[in-house]
Amino acid sequence: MSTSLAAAFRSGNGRKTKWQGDVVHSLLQLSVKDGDTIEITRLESSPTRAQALKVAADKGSLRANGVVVSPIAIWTHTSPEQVTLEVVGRKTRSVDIWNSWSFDGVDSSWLGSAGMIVESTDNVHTVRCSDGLGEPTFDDLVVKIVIRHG
Amino acid sequence: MGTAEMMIVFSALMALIALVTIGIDWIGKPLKHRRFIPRIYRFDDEKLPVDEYGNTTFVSELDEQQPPLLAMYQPGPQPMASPQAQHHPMAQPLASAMLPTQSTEAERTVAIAAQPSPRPVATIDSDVAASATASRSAFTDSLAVPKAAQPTPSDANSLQLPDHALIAGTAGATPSTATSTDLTWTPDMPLDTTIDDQKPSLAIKAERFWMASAEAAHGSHFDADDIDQMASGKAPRRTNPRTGRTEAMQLTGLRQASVCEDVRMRWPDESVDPWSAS
Repeated sequence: MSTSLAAAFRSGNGRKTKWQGDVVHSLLQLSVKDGDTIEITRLESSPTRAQALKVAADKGSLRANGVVVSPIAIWTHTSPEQVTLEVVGRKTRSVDIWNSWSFDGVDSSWLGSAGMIVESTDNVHTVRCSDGLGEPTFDDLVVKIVIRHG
Repeated sequence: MGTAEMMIVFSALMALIALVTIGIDWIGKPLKHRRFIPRIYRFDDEKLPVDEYGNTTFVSELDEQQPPLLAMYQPGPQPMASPQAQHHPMAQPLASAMLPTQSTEAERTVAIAAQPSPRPVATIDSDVAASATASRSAFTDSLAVPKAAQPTPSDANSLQLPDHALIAGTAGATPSTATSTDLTWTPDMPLDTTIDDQKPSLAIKAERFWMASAEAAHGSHFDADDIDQMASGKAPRRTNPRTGRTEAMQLTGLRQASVCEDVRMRWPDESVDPWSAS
């Protein structure tokens, strides 16, 4: 059911839930500090609609393409396949990562079948994202995230 | 007091009475954006019809019921051959020469078509119309059909009115019947439809937008709860796991919008795409 994943998130703490044996995240939190760099490589993306990975620094900002801002939206149709974000802010302790998609011109997140399955080894995280439309398919956006401590 | 002075005093008195009358007429419904419709147009036989957008119009259904122009066309005096003329040697050529002219004129006459009324207009019972002036809206416009001119039940099929072509401001004038005179907004109507002589507020337009969007939301990423929420005129909601709070969808461009396509939906989001301009 397309609504079961959203319902599962609602029944839990809203950040992660169990879905068909996998732990599915609606929000991924990674530990970083000022000066760290986050390398994000897009491995796969759905041609059906624009997908995005959004990154927000907790009590800080991120520098990308010469812009210091938070949150940052890395859209499949505008950004290069590999981007590097630099963490700016001495109080920053973590970044929040979630997926988003564009449907009928509306940028949406955390709806319907949206979720992320994360495979982590040390500082490398492979994130497989499902957008909110249809059944949960965790190949709408697949990215590799590497945290490099400064 | 001379005649000239009497005339001036009389004119001033008439002007004063006119101003007082207009003032009394105006103080019926002191709301913004309302139109001033002289009371003379609100007598039963001069009610203004309401079109599908809720605006008054001078094009009435009665125009369609009237005989077409053809029936009212009076042909000009036709040359009639007198008995004497029929025996005149020139009578036959003259008659034959004139007949085609008549025929051509007749064809031209047939070519005249009655202009169809572009929009259907609602009609209500004259009793209802009479009571409409005593209804909530003091400026209710309606088109009353005299009893004699009312369509019979057999005519009802030929005079099919759309559901939304109803009269505004007559709520309560007729108990709930199939021919309710309440103009109620339906999702196929423009968002800024004026009902009961009142332009919709921004909140009402938002409500209408969500109700109109509810049907289109089937098959999208909105779940059943969201669609139910929209169908009841409320914005869909989501839980933001970053903040733990519930967020409602927002609308932009609603104030000027007349149709749903003019409105943009957006979730609260402050993210920036650093590559969008490059």
